Amino acid sequence: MTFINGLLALGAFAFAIPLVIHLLFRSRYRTVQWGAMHLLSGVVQVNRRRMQILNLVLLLLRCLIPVVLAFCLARPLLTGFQSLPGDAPETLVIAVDDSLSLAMKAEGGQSREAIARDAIDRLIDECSRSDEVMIVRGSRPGEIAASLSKVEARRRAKQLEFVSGTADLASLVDSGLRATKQANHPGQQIVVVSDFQSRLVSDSTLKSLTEMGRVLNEFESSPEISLLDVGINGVGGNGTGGISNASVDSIVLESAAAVVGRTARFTARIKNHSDEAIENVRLVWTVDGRKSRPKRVSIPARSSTTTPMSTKFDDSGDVNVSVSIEHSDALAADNHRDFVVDVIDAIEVLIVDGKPSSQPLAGQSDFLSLALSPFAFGGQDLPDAVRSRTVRQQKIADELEEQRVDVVILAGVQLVTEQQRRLLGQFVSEGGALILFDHPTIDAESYGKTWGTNENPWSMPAIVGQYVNVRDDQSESAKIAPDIITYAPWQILGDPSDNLYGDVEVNGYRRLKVDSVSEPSSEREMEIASVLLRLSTGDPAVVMAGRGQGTVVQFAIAADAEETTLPLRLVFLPMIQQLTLDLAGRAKAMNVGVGESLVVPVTELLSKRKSLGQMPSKRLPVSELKDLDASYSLTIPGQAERSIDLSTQPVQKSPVLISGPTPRAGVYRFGISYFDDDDSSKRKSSRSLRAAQMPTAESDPRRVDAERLGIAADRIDAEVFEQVAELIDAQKTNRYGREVWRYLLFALLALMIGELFVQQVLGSPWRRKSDKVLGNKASPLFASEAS
Amino acid sequence: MRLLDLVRPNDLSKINALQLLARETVEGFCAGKHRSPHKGSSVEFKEHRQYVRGDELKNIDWQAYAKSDKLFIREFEEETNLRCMLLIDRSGSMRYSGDRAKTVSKESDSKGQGQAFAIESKYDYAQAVAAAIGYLALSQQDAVGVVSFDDRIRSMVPCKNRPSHLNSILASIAESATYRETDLGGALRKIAAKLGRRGIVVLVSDGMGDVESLSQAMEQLRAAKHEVLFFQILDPDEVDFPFEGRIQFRDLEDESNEHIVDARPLRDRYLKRYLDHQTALRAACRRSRVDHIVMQTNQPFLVTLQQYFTWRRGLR
Repeated sequence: MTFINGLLALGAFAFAIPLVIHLLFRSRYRTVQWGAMHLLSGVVQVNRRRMQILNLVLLLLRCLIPVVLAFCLARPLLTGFQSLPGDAPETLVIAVDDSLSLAMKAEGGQSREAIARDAIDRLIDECSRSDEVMIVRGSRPGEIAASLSKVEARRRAKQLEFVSGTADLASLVDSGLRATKQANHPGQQIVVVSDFQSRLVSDSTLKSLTEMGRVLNEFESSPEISLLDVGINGVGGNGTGGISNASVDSIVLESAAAVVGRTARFTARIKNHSDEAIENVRLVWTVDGRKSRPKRVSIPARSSTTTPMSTKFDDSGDVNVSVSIEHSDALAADNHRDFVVDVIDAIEVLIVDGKPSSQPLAGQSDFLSLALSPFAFGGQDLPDAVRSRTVRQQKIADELEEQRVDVVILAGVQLVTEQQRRLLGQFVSEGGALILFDHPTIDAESYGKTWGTNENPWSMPAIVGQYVNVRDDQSESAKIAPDIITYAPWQILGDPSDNLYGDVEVNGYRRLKVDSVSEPSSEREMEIASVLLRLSTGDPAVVMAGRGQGTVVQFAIAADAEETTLPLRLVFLPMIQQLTLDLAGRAKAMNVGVGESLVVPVTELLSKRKSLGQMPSKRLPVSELKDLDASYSLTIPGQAERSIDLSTQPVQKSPVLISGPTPRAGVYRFGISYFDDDDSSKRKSSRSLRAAQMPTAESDPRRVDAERLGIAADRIDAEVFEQVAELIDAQKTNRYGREVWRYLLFALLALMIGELFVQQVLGSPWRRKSDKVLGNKASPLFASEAS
Repeated sequence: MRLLDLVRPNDLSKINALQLLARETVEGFCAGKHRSPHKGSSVEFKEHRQYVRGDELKNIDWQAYAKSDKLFIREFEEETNLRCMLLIDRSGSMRYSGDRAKTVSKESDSKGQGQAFAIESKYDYAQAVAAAIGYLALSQQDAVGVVSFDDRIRSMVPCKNRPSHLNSILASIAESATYRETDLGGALRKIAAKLGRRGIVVLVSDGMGDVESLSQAMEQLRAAKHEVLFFQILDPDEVDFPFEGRIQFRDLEDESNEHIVDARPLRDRYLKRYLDHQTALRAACRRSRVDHIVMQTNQPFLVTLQQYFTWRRGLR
């Protein structure tokens, strides 16, 4: 224990004053010649011992009062709580949840962001000159924290923007822990500043925190972790706290793909997070800068509504589709959502016919061609979304080299050569889609081998088994099981319970075995296949899985009408159309969550360049780009355009532009400026759009249950604070020791009250009674038997 | 010793206006203001009774004989003088003199109402009370005597009604207090045995002592048909115990008995004890039909006496 004002502790010797007074008065007394001694003697005899004890207690109390007062003024510090000597420099790591939810502001109240900023400033202010500060952001989990001085830290804190996506508590703590590894001082404190939304402490977060806590316990000295809850006084408590917030939760392209000249359907979901219904909110769709006629929507409490929009695109390219609602609520930023759609001219599908026929509809690819380009097949002058061409197996390599291909369909190809597996494998890895249709004659072994290059090998989503001839085994044909359609693009086909596939007969199919674990043939983890359709026998009919950046779809049935009646049914055409559109649409990740990186292939930006227009889009040699003397730029929402460097994708080695983690929601513009081959004096430019979208969880004002937060804190031995002042006090206690003058002050008051009590109450228990009796006896004088 | 040494001249004139009347019939030798149980020659006719042998002939009512032819004796109510015995407590406890009594005494002096001698102690006060009552009785031609005592009888002046007897009485009253212990009960019993004809016994004491013993003594006096007036003289310090701080209380009756105490915490207990004592004393007086008059030395005794005698006359 030490004292802040050590000299004042000497005042404790003042205890001698009452002691001396006591002793002095004990030896000094007045003598009274007393007559009524027979009354006094009895009282003295009876109370002598009691009086002695009482006097001793009083003396003790009176001695203690100056002692406690002196200690109180000296401000003692209990140093048993110290982790390090108080003057040792420390590292303060502030892990800030800079998610958008902190921007919430209750009506007339202070926003969580303001509270967080104030708290961070105060935490920095409390640091000494020798301390170092590190600020890590939830939106940048991998960022290397820099050691900052107080001034620099304050400046950095001012620059914080609360616009990012969801971070969870485990990642925040993990960021803080990683920052402490760069710390220069042995004493380290991590303060997690967050509003602790309900999603911040999920079950998986608790598991991660448990593991972290276990690791921390193994260290001899682990950082002190504190959780500062800035949501308590800002917006709401548990529940929504009565605040109103509506958000544009999502924009979805309902059509499988947006194709020039064809109607594309979008839906937007508007959610009301508050406990009261929202009436007549004005909603506006904006397509490529053109606003549509406003709509009015009403949303019941704590529910959502969807609003549709259809439009036709005249040109191909990236188009920004956004939805805005006009509603005054706690979080304005989520009242608008951007969505970028890739409008394509047509999808290039390469059909490889394994068994071509001169007879109409007798080949393996005939029904597919019909399904993919119905207008072209029928000679109508309407735009087809898909442009397909059918080739023989031997032409695969040439076609892939020379033409842009989005989807390759192998229809009953008997044997896939190693070269074709390598080429098609690479095609899929780079983002292409491969659809395989079965045939009784195919060589299952060749399909079961590894596809792709040695650098990016992959295997089929399902193991290709034996061909099952249903008629041999059973009297009736197999059917397609009327199951719930889980594949979204096929949901527009109708309800399967309405006998959608009722008249489809399957006489033979390939047994596809879907493993629940990833294929061990590759060291890389493969996506587990999902079954899109299943046969009545229980075997999968259609299987899909992502491989590399592309997708592979396996059909257990053939594409001709010999073994199954599916190609003859009406449902076949939209099935294939939707599947192809979806697969082609998947090629580009146009919309990502905030915090994720955006990647734009340079070929996409150069797709309109004449000399490159005929080249396969995904194979642009980097050397050729140097000849273009191209420069690249990126415009982040709310910021000015800045130039960025060209990157190379690690796997495909293709040139790409990478934004890095997207800091905020909105539309990101990637640009290129280059000298065209046709006119070398003119510099041309083009752009691509991408959108970063805020997770819907940020719009939810509900906060994590205090008990759950407490459990999370216990896992890492952290302490939860609702006020920054409390946290600072705890930090001081931890650093310098605990000040106990308040307790001493209470003790002093207790002693003084005790002294009064002992003197007044215990010292004269009959006072009131005797005074009362005396009071009644105001006129003494005389009495007689006659009275 | 002169009366004016004990009582102020102004007070004496007031005392003359008082009348010490016996509430009950008393025996006396001289005609005075009190009824006597003896019937004899007097101006006040009381009744006739039949002549019996041995009656003096002079008392026969001849007029009644002439009318009724029977011998009747005329009887008259006899007026007698009061036998007033003053019992003064001279024990050590009566020597107590509190500050307030002294202050009152000095104030009286400064106002020109100074008493003939400064009343400081309870004994001084008791002397003044006794002198006043003695003077009053003598001025009414009552017989007055004085007995002073502590644990035993110290002096005794028999009852006489001659004016010249006043000096003897005052001389006895003026004797100083002793340092001896009080034994009120024992002393009174001895005095009771020595008192002759019934009369008024005026006890002037602080009443500090065994109440039970005192009660028995008073019973004994009452049994002898004496009317007892108990003037209890108290110092205000004894009533409210105003002491604070460390005080050595030394017994006035026994110097070896002393207590050094912190007075303030003891006050309440002392007061309770005092009240208990007073209550017991009052009860004993009530039981024995004794007038109990409490007088504090910081109050003028004459006022109390006036109130008492006025009240007493009203009872008659």
